[in-house]
Amino acid sequence: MTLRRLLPIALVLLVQVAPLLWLANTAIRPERGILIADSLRLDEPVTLDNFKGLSTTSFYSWLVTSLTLATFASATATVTGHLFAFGCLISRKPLWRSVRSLALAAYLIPAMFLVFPVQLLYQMSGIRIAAIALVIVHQLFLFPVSVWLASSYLDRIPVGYVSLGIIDNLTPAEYWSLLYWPFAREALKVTFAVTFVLSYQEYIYSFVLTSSSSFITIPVGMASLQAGDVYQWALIGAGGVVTTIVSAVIVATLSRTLEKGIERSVTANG
Amino acid sequence: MRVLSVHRSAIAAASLALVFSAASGCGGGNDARRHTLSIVFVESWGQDVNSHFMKLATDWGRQNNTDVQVDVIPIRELDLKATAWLQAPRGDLALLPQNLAMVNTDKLRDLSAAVTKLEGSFGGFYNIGEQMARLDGTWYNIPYYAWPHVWFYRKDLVDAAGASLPSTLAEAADLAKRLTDRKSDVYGLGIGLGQDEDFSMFLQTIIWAFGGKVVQADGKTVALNSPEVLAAVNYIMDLYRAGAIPPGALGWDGATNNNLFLGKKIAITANALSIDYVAKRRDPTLYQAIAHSAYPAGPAGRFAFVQTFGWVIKKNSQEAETAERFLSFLYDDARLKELFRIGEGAIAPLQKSAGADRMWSEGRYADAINSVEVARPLGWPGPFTRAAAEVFNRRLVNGIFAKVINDKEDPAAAIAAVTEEIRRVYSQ
Amino acid sequence: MTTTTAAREHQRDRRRSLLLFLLAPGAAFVVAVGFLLALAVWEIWVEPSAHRTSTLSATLRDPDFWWTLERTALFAALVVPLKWALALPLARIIRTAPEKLRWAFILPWVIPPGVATLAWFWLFYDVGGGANLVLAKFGVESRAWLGTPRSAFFICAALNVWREVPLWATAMAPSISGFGGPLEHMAKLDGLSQRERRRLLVRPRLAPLFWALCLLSLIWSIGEFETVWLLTRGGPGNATEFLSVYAFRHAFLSQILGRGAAAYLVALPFVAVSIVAVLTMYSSAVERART
Repeated sequence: MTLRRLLPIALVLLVQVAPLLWLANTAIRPERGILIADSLRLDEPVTLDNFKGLSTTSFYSWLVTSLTLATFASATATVTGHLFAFGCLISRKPLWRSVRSLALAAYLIPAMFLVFPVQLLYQMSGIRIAAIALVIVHQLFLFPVSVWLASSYLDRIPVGYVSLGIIDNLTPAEYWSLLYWPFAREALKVTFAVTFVLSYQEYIYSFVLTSSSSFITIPVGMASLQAGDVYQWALIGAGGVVTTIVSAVIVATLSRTLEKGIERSVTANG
Repeated sequence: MRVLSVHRSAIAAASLALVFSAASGCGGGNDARRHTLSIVFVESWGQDVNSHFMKLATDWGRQNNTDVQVDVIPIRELDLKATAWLQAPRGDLALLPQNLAMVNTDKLRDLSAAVTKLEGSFGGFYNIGEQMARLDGTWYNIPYYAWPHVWFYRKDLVDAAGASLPSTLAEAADLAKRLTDRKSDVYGLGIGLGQDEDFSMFLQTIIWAFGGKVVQADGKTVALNSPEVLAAVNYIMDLYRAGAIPPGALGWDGATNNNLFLGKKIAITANALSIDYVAKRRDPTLYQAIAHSAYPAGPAGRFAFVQTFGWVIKKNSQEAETAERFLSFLYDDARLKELFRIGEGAIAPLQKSAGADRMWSEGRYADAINSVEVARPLGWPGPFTRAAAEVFNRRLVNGIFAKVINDKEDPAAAIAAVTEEIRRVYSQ
Repeated sequence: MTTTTAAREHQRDRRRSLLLFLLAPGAAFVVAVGFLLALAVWEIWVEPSAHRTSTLSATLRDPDFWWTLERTALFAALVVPLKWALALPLARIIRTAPEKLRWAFILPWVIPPGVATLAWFWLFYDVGGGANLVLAKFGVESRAWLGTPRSAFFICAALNVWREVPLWATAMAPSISGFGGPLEHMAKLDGLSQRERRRLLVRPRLAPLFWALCLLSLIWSIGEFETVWLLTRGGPGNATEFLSVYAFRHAFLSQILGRGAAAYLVALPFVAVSIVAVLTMYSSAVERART
């Protein structure tokens, strides 16, 4: 790889991580009770104590909560979205196409608008298990994305195939293996990857709905690392670095799938 | 005969056992039904307060055949969670800011009888707690504690400047300007000028200290647009323009002044004793160099406003009696004093007998309890009203400074504009 | 009934059951969202108690609401072209980057916004933040980055762009491939200039993508909450109080949940017009790309 190609790549990556560098720098310097930095501290020794200090907070349980919630929410959205998209395809009735359009249009409704009735409903329902409530509530924005992505793949199934399937009286298992699976294999991975990331990042519903201190996600928990009415920058820095590393692992693992998903989500059904 | 007498003895013994077990239960109810009590508690920055309260609640629940479920609201989410709890159809007992709770009294139980029962055990409440617990003579919350608000000084910088702690606002302004040292990146007075709660309390106090008020004594006529309020605004703006207040103060939140004071970037601030709590643990040298005072006096005298908290019970709660029994347990005088001792000044009592405890007689604690003793309720000199609470909750008066600093408006014009906004609230 | 008819009935029932199973999630979703919207409208109209005027009229009469709407429109109008301007060159760079490194380009989008925002907050903290310490190193006076309205506004916009440009670029990267391929080669043979090649080959292909990304960005900008709330809480003053922050603040500080929903309801016509405009441009761009 030539320098001419490498330089712009390196510059872009630097710009992308630059805002995170100051936080990372704080994370690896001795905390020494300082809540304000008075220098760039580049000559101070590097330490990992702040990362150990994270275990005195609930940070690691927030991380597990976020990953678990994202897994269940995205799995639910993937399955239900695919079922529905496939159902719309084989139903061939215009009514269900309209219902599909309505489901997709729901994505246009801002979360901040829906959070008010959601919050009221949550309180009225008496559901004490925030985890279940959040998995359900996350479907408000994950389900449309799942349907959108599923449709972008399943709409490639030739109409004739569907007609033949009806004529041949396929069993459900045959619909699955002959019609759905060949076209949906990649779609499932893509849908799961994209919805996982969206669920992992989600803030407003978790912020408003979680009352139990035992079910807090990373985005909400990190903001609460202000204890004693002060920002604990060293801990926040360490938490930020760990979260970034976890995000990097997620994106590196799902990179190809995410790229396809992102491309599909803006070019599909057009 | 012998058999019968054995039977009689057995029956008597069984009856006694039954009566004894029914009577036992440490003040619990007579019914054997298991209760479930949901409690919402505000997180204190005195972390020991939180764990102590959890233990109190759990122990009481165990002794009283009650499943106690405690949800702790983080301080940063106070507005959101308090509103969510108030709006929700379910819920039993909550400790909420009095100013937030009293906007929704239609959802709260009348606690007048409960207060009458409890009050005798601790000699009544401080004025601010009592005033902000009642509307139209009805008690809707039972005052519990306050976040005291005092002035903090870097004693080392004050001594180095050859000055002493100010007793008037004029002296305080002079000291703040003297302690500002741009070369060392130290500002004299660190107080946010935006929507943060510290500035809300600070501003309310300064307005009163200059003889101003938000509303007249009738509790209905908005009186913000006055020479006294203009003088108060100009006092603060003078400090800002002189560079004694950091230029970014308009964008601060409630933690920024803490961070800057503990980071030695500001010499004076007004805050709750949370600064001491953190300094004691993280920077003992700084802790020794902190001095306190009550709010300095203005031309109209010395005033204070503190954030107060009270217990409320939902109107439709199925466990209202259980909640009241728990409150009787909490408001035991000895138990109250123990809680405040554990808090190390993070919370101050709204009960007079707890405030008379020896702990509050010296040093920083004396200034803290003094701020509660002299504190006026929202709406003063008028009665505390729903509208007064709403104006404070929405930080409408704070908005004057955004208009002056952001929009470059003349202070008098900014005050006039905000007065109109407040009139709209009072006219609803 | 003959065996054939019975068999046909059975097959029809089986198909019906299958369809019911498949379509139920979608139907339930649409009904649920409809119910939530109805509940939001109920909160606006029914919920306020007797001593308050209606939330809708309070919102309409609030001059701060209209300033907020204008501010939100300005924010959206600023960030969308910025993303477009930066995404295209970034997309080219992504195309040329080694495949093993490509994941790094979408990292800003994957990091939870709350965490990314804290990083920006600490960077621009007005006393002791990284940006000011760098300035101090060069002898420049520190700035109140988040305490000055204009800089706070632009930092919010910069954060929004920083997070979403990688997404745009990743979406565009595959579409700009092939420009160096046979089509480009034939265009060169035909003597088309670079400007003409861009106009005839590149733009029609990218236009649908651009409008689709615009739509997503518009929706996300209007709903932008966590980054602004954590960075500035709508301040200094109300310099960064966008629609979502306005709705949140009025709902939870006025303690009238309906005020929050009312803000969006009043803004709905303006938002709807923008969305319809973008969708129209998207549809015509798709048509042009096909022909």
